Amino acid sequence: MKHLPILVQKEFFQMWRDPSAFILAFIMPAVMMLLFGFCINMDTSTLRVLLVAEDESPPVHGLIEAMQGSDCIEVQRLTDREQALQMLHTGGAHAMLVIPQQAAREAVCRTEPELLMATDGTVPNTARFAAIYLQSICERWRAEQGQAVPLDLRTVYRFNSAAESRLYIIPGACAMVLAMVGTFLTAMVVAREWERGTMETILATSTTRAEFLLSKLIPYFLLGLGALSVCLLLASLLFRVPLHAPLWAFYAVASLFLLCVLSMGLLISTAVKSQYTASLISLMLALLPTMLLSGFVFELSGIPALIDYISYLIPARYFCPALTSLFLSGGNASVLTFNVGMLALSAVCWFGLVLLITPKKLDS
Amino acid sequence: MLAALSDVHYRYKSEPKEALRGVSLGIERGEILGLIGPDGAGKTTLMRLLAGVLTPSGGSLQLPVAGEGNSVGYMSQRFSLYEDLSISENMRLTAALRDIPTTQADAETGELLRLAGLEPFAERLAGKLSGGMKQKLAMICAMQGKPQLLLLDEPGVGVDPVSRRELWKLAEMARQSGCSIVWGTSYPNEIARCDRVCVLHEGRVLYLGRPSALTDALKGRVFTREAAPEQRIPLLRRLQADPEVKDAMPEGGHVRFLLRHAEATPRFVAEGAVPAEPGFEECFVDLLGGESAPSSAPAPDAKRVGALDGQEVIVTDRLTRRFGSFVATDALSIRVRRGEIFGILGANGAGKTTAFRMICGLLPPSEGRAKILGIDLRREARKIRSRIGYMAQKFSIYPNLTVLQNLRFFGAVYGLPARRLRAAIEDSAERYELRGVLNSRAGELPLGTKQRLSMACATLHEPDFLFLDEPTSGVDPLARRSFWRRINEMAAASVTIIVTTHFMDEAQYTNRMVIMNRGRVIAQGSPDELKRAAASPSCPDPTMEDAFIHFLTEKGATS
Repeated sequence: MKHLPILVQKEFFQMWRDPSAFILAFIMPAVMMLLFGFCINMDTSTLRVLLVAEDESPPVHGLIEAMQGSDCIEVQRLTDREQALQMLHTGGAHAMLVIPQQAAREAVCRTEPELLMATDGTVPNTARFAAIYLQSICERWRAEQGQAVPLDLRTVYRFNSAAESRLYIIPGACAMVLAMVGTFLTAMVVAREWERGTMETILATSTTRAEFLLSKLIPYFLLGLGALSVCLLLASLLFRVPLHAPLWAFYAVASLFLLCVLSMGLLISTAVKSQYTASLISLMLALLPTMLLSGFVFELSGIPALIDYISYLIPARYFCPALTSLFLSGGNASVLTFNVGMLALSAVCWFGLVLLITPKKLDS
Repeated sequence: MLAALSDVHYRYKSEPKEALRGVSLGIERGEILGLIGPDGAGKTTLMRLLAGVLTPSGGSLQLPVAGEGNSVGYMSQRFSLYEDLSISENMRLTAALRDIPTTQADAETGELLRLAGLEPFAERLAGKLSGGMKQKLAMICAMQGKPQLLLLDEPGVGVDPVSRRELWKLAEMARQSGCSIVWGTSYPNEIARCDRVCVLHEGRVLYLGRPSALTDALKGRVFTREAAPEQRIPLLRRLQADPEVKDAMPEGGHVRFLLRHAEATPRFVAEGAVPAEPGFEECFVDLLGGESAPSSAPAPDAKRVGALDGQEVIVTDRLTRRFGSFVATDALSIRVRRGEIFGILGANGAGKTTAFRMICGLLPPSEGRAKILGIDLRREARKIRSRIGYMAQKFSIYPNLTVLQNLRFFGAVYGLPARRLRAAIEDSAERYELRGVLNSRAGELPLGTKQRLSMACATLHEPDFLFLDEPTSGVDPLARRSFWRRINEMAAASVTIIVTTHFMDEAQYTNRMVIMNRGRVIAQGSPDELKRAAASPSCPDPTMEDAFIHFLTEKGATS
């Protein structure tokens, strides 16, 4: 290990000379956090609803007022169904509600009033929200007409609760940032040694494989922790997502994850030896699965079994739940035990694999 | 014996053929062993085995002291230091990685930097150094810790003659302190400085011994014959077709040739040939059995011969190009006659490529103008473009396409109609010996073949003006010879050729040339004129390289 200090020093010199690593480690996390925090919003802020009231009798006014009074829908009144459908079709609104001629009478006469609702299925999430929300307004209105109270009347839909989804977006963003710094940066730096021919110089010396790998691991590990701190600061100061767990626990879990992604990066660049290919592969093997299969953007409950199995290979699958738990509840013992254990296991596996395939000679 | 190889074989995993096929070789203490061979002969593989970055797939290899980092110093063919580290940082890193004690390394560094003339630049980033300085840095890094064996893989490639001499000086110094050196090269002229030479060819040792024994074997078989400019090409062609002649090349106002047997001497002497000292390039050609098909070149298009009217077809007037405050080419004025081979000679970074791009209309000049047949390239380049062939420095062919697909593509780009294109491809495949590889992917071809393909692509449309930027860079002597034979054929067919090069001996093949340094022309004339101008009492019969260094040091000092 006597070569390690000078190799690490070299790595820092190179980082210093080529600030793109710093940009990736400190600016990117901030940008990603802001993007994820503000732009990926699972809730819908304002629903645009078209209202066609063919029945203008007093009971219907109650319904119209109820809709117009809501903060989260923006009602536009039209007189013609066809026109409304046309608007829905062109994306001018998320949903439309038609109150037919007999609606008020039907409601009062204890028969089922027939209201027509249509939503824009091209934006399924929003459509679902619109449907549920409109339904609840209608049911409340029916209840006000003195009718039997449907069972789910008291269901509360908390719209406009952007902070709610941030609670799990933020830990996901942390995972993305770490995967980025870990896999992407390390994949680039080892491939760079091959591409520029400097690997030949290193191989011609008595530098061991472990020394070489650690010299790549240590600087980028520190850089990753730096990036993580940026995430943490933004999460607590800007997005008001406080960390309930102690700091050491947060950093310990993150370190395990970092080891996994760093090893993946080393593995990729050792295998392909070209910066361009390494960056593409790390995008496909590290960033996309982290985003898609960790459960932070997409629910994992609905995915096919095969892909579910694959997702167990992705370290982010363990990291995201562990981190969410640390952020929100300060750490749930059963969640943590399983996920942290699996993280440690994947770290060992990935790093072992790297050690195994790093060549000792030029042509292997 | 310091190191020895016996019956060493090596095969790269991705290649079906062995790179080394049974090499036995001993390296003596304190000698400079020249390792020479054509492209793909196995020189680099041999170096890598000695450096320990590869392990032989067969045979045995005995190295100075196994496992000791500083017993072997290795300078790889590609610059393999960190461009984003400074000179001193690179030296510190390589010293530490090679287990040289810090105190010793620190003591050595100053001395090595001084010897290499890099002292003032110690804190400069390696990426910001010139080609020659980079090579010197790589060499002194390999020399750290006083290794017993110094492996230098083509240190002189792509380096100007002045820097190359400095590299040799460093090597001599290392040898004096008892170090053995293996110097890989593809310039035959470099082996004159070696104690012994090993000629590698297709993974086998073709010759191992003293360099003088090589030239001695050729004594009495090398001749030169003077020829007037218009007689040069016909004479050359006649000699190349002669069954008794193994090799013939122009040399300034002469044609130089090698006989197969000394018995034929009287006939050639009667014709006016004068015996000459054999050169290493001829030894190399002789050893490798001469060019593959020297006399098969089709005669040039008959209707075009005879158009050599001496008209000045390419004229530039104070052509200047600036990049920011940096003047890449400064007031270049040249006049090139029809059918002339005009050389632009200079070290890397002298402004050759910039000048060249302006002359063929690829780069607008900051000042001055370039005219071809009186047409200003800045305004009406399109009128003349179809008559220009251009071959870029880094052979611009598509590596993923086959040879045939490349030819078709370039033919189509030049706008050849289908029938003419077919004929042109037929013709090129014959002329450039590409028939056997038409369906191979261009990227997998050896360098020499790539160069032939690149040349074929540039000449498919039978241009009247041919621009060649460093066409023979990295190509071995045999390939270079056949390349120049084709160039001569084309010049004889009144094609005007402008060629840039940093090979000094290649400059002999041109009719006239300019020597550039730091963007300026420091000398111009025919090879003989330039050599005469450089003659001095201490060096009465200078080589082209001597002449180049003469002009560079003389003019460089005043500027």
